[in-house]
Amino acid sequence: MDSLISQYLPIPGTYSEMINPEGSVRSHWEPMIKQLSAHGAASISNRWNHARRAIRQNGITYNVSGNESDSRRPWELDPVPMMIAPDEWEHISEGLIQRMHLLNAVLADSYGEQTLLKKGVLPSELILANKAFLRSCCPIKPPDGQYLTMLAVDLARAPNGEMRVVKDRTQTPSGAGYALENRLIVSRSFPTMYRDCKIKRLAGFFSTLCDRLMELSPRKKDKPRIVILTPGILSESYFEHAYLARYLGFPLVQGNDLTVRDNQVFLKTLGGLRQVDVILRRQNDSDCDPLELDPSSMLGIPGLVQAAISGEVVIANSLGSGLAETPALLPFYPMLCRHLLKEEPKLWTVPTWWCGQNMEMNQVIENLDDYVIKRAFAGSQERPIFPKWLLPEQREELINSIQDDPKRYIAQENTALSAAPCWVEGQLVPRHSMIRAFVVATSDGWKVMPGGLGRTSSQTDSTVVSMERGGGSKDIWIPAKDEIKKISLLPTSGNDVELSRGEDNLSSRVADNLFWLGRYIQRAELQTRMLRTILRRLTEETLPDGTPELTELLRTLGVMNDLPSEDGLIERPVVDMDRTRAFICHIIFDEGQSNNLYAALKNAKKIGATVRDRISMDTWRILDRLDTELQGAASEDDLTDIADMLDNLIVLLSAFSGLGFESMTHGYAWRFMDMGFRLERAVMSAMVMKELLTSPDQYETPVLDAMLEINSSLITYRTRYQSTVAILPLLDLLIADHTNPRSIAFQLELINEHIRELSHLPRLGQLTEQIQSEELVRFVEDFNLSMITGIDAVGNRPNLSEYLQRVIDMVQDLSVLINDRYLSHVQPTHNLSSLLGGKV
Amino acid sequence: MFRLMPRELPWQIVQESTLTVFPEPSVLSERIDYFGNNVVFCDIEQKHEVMHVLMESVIDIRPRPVPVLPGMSWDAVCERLRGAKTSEGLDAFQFCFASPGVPLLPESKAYCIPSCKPGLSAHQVAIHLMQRIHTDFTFDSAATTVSTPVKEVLKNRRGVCQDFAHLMISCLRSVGIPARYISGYIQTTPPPGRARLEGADASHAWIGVYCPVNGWLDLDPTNNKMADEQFITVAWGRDYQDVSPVTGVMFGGGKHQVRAEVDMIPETELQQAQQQQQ
Repeated sequence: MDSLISQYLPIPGTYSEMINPEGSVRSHWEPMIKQLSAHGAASISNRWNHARRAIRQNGITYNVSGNESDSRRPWELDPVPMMIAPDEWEHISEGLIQRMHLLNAVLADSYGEQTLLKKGVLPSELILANKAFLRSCCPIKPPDGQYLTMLAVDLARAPNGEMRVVKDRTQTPSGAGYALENRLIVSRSFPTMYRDCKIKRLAGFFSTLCDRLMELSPRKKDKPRIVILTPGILSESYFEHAYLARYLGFPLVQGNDLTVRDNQVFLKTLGGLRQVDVILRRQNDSDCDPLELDPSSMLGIPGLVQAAISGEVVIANSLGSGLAETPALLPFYPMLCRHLLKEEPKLWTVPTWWCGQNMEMNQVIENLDDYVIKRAFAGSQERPIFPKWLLPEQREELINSIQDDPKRYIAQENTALSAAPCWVEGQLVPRHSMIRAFVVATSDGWKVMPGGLGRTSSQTDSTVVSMERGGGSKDIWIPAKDEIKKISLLPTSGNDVELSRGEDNLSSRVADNLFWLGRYIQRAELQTRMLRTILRRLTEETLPDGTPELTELLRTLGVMNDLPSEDGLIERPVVDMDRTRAFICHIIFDEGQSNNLYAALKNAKKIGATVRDRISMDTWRILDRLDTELQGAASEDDLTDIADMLDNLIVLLSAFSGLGFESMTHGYAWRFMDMGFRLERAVMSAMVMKELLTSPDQYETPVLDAMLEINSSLITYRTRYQSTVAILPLLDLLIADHTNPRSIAFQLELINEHIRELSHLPRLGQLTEQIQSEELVRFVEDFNLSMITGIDAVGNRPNLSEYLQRVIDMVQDLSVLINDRYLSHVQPTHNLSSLLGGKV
Repeated sequence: MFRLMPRELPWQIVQESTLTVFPEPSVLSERIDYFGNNVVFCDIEQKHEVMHVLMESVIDIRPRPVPVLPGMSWDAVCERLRGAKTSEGLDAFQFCFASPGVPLLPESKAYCIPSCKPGLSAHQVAIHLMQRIHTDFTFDSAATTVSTPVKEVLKNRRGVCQDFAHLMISCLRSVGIPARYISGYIQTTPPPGRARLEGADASHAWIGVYCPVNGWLDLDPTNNKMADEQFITVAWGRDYQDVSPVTGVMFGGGKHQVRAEVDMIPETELQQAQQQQQ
């Protein structure tokens, strides 16, 4: 124990979470630190490196800027849990429950009778001048009067050791999913430590949330349909939305997956519209309905407010709950607690002053340097201001803006946060820390998550704790006073489980994304195989006459990438290696191209992110590694290294297809992905054949060899024919042979099977795409290929060219038909232009 | 969503109001919004290329009360309302602040200041301001759209009723006088001896300004007059967004056009017309 602790120096002037004033370890930290010390520094670092890799590969991210998918940052987690003593936690929990009760009462009053304003208890500007007060939500009456189903509260410890509320989060209380993921990672990394410390489990909190959401359903039925509404992958905590969806077993939806008809909310699925009972939303209040809330938001569902008013759907937290997290309300909550609940507040609030009152404003301006200045109303992107760091003229400017519109500002006491030990470069180092705690409603009260999301500053001297600014996170451990009850979200007895094989909830958007995921993966595979065939010829020892097929292959590669091939790369038998290498690197890595390998893998990963709740963790890891593999080679210009990378990509891409086939249930979701995969393969391989085979010159044999190599059918051909490659058997193998998994016929048969299966969806029946697809299968299998191999007077195969083009066109048509039938439910919407404002 | 049905007011007794929508909506529900306006929510499920909305109302219009001047000094109003505990006071207080469609700009404050002479009442300041806007600004239906910001109107000095209403509200609120946006209909007077033209009346926008002593006064900056029996009040709110007569979302492609006509027919003329038809 001494080895880890002896060098640990608490930050002077701050409360130390781990060390008491006498310099010894506080008792509730002892068992954990003892275990940690037993591991030794090397073992901790080693385990933690594993954990960090898992975080990266599992794609746990926090999207910092909210507008670029590339700004997604891996989640920062510290291995040392934050310990909180059970007795203190009991006290905190009571305080949190009281706060949930209070915030709910304030919401009910503000959206109802407004007695707080009428009696002059609360300055009316706080509600009436508040953008978060959404007048159109007043008629919404949530079940049991509970506006808040979930609440998150940021707590920080004052220098005297008291836990105090810093911020409430009522609109989209995020972080619970991250807390759970942190717990899984830390407990997996240090299983013995976790077990021996007897830490309270988190699962119970989530099963309570699940139960509560079920209870909220306006229709009493066995399986209410509950969805999680996310603003999409650009949201900073999209990872958490997908994670919770998978953990809780609810579909993750976006605004355009839902529609309001007859005051009811429906999920647009492949099988038609499915009624939604409860929405757990992770989208801001004002973004939820362009009709009655912010008309400029593209994320909402028109008519959602009306549906909520009519009680046909329940939204958790209720629309308009963002009002309760208004920073300017903070200083009033203790008084409101006494007034509304007739109780003394059990948790302190960080001392805060609202400048909208004269006395408070004057006091703030007089002692400006003691405070942090923040915006009084939510929704402002402006950062907190620390006046003591300001230049004199900036300070003057700040005072002017406060005096100009004082109600827009609050001042908070600027005191050092407590510090907890973090694992930095092989030792324990103190970092300022905060915790985010969570409360969930139940039918007869509230329940607190026994744990939470710990957050730490990135530097010892930084008191700003924020995920956006590069801080880290911690698991929070509350030792149990008695034995741990095991709870899992999986039902324990098998008898009362309703067997289900359906994919009732597969939305058209998700099907569309899976379809394109399949297409991009296949596009990447063919690009990779093509490139590998070329690189082998460039890097391996060449034949005496050079490799005559290279010119053709490079031209075809250009066509595949919509790029003209460069002239003079090869003046047989001499290859201009520098220029060829540059051309190939450009084709692989150029970020400006839309069809190249780079784009295909980027798009596959991007789409993969949107359907994370539908694909397995392993599948996601492959998508991640594909991207990393490519990025890692981006700076290479040695063709051998690039060839190695291509080999690795082939393995990963094959693993992706294998996993898809083996580990996804062969339901509709899989069928859409596979259909995309097959369509792309059929089109691309017909296209490559058309480029390489229809204008043969004197060097046809090596071209045919290459063609077989691209389609990985070389071995099959050799075992069948044991002779040099000829055009007719090659065409038979690559087009018509439905036993060859690379042939066009093989792809078409599978597509045909998928389409047949999809026709079993309710209300579909015989379909145009089914007719087209069957026709296509016959067209390819029954065709007499020997009719089209002939060469005309100028040395071309016009019939073959025409035939392949016909196949390409028919497959493309089929793709359009599938798209029209299943995937175009996401109709464009327009706001009614309202020129009726008045004309005179 | 429609806000087309007139409000019930002491000088505006609504005897009957019906709203008909074609094609037949699958949902047609009425409610009263936060400001007390009549809202109709409708949902049309069937495919359609044209939608008709007809609002018919029989209204008994009486003379509005003669405004009492002066009233409370303009610079005392806001402070008085801050401590207001009555429903009326709280209701008026919310019209003191910036709202989504009406920012409080330094420019609008600067424009308002010349009207704010010491000792004038809130209503007097508003009337003076109305006269200035009427003189300084040109009516120009081509100059703006529904979403032209106040700043631009102030710069270009042209616009339509909605722009003048927003501008005037921004001016008044920026000096602490509560002001609300009113949408409604206005009767146009035909030239002497001519018959009233069908559809010549119009949807219109004007403002209300509040004085804790004398209550609300409706002023029309576009026509430089106080609202009278030619004005029918439909809805009020903080700005256009709160009272927009028709809002909605359409599914499917294609462009669309909106056309509106208003007829305000005195009962006597209506009876004549009916007799002629018989």
